Amino acid sequence: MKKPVLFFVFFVIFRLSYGQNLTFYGFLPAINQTGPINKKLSYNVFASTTIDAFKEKIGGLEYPATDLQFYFQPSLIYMISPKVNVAGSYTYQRNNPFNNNFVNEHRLWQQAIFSFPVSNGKITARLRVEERFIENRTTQKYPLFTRLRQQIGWNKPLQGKVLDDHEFYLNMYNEFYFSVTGNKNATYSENWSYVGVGYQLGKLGKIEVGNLFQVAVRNKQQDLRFLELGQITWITNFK
Amino acid sequence: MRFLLFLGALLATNLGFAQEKRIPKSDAPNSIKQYISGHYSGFIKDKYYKEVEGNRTFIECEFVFQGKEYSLKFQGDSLIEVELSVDWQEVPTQSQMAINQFLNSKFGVYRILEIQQINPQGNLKYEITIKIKGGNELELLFDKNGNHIADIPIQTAPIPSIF
Repeated sequence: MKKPVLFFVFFVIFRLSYGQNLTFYGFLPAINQTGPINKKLSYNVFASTTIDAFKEKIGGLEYPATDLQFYFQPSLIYMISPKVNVAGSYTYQRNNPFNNNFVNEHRLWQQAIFSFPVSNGKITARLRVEERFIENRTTQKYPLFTRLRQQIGWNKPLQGKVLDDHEFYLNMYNEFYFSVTGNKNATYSENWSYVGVGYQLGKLGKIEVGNLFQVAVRNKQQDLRFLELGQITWITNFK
Repeated sequence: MRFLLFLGALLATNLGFAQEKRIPKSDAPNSIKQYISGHYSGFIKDKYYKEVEGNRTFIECEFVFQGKEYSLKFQGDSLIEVELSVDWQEVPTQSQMAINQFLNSKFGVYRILEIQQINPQGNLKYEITIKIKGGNELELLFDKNGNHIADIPIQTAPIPSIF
């Protein structure tokens, strides 16, 4: 009995000593424009960059402050009903965009999103299927990886039943990422949690400020990378 | 390349739907505020909106008076429309029958979400919002006798979603 217990204790100590979770802090500015094409069809353009704002030294290794990611996502949205939309997109992502070790990704995705009122707010449930073509810098090829994402969100006006101009609102979500095919570190590979407060500006759209906490499994040893990001998003509906 | 040009052409389309924006009370004309104070003494929860339809500008005031929700629409100083939210039971029985007959024949399964009386003191009409099978919402206009006049297009915005 003692031997397995001792083995377990040593295993845990070994794991804690050599397991290396990384935590970085930064900012994520984003813009989001949605506009109508016709009664049922709309377009959306979303762009963001993720900035690791502080130099870190972890486990003897230096991690300089850097731009971690550029993300550009145009999409088409079809409104089946006010409560059910479907959408599709070609998305471009570039990791470490300004460094020599940059990696390009070309992504196609399809999603269904449901929205229904709860109390004074709305719950949204979004299911997305992604086909990711991620550059292999060694072979110069773009092998295919597929992933499922499930997001559950809630938003509500903070001043009254309806969000009017010059009023605040609350927005939050959690998104589960499941890597399905392709080389992967884990099946449940990422989790994003967000909470923010927005302000309806009027004809200039909305400004939303919040905290986005990203967790990603960064290697086969299941070490994690945590990203604590201050996110600011300008959301517009220019016609 | 051709696809991008096509997409660009679609994106340049102007739909012409009315644009309504909330304005502060201080920006609403005094004549409108005085009219409402004079005719609806004791009103509460007033909100003001500016609506642009083509080259015409309207000021709309929503408020609660004696427990009911009102909406008054002005063009300049002229009151052009009064809307009052009512319950189904307040619609005369004959009109109810005519409206139900029309909705049953056209939609089969539906649910009435909201009823508004338009111009209750004048050329009375009913604006009725319904939900039909599939979840879509429609607004329909009926005269005081329950005869269908027109369908009112509702612009639906997509569900907000980022990343």
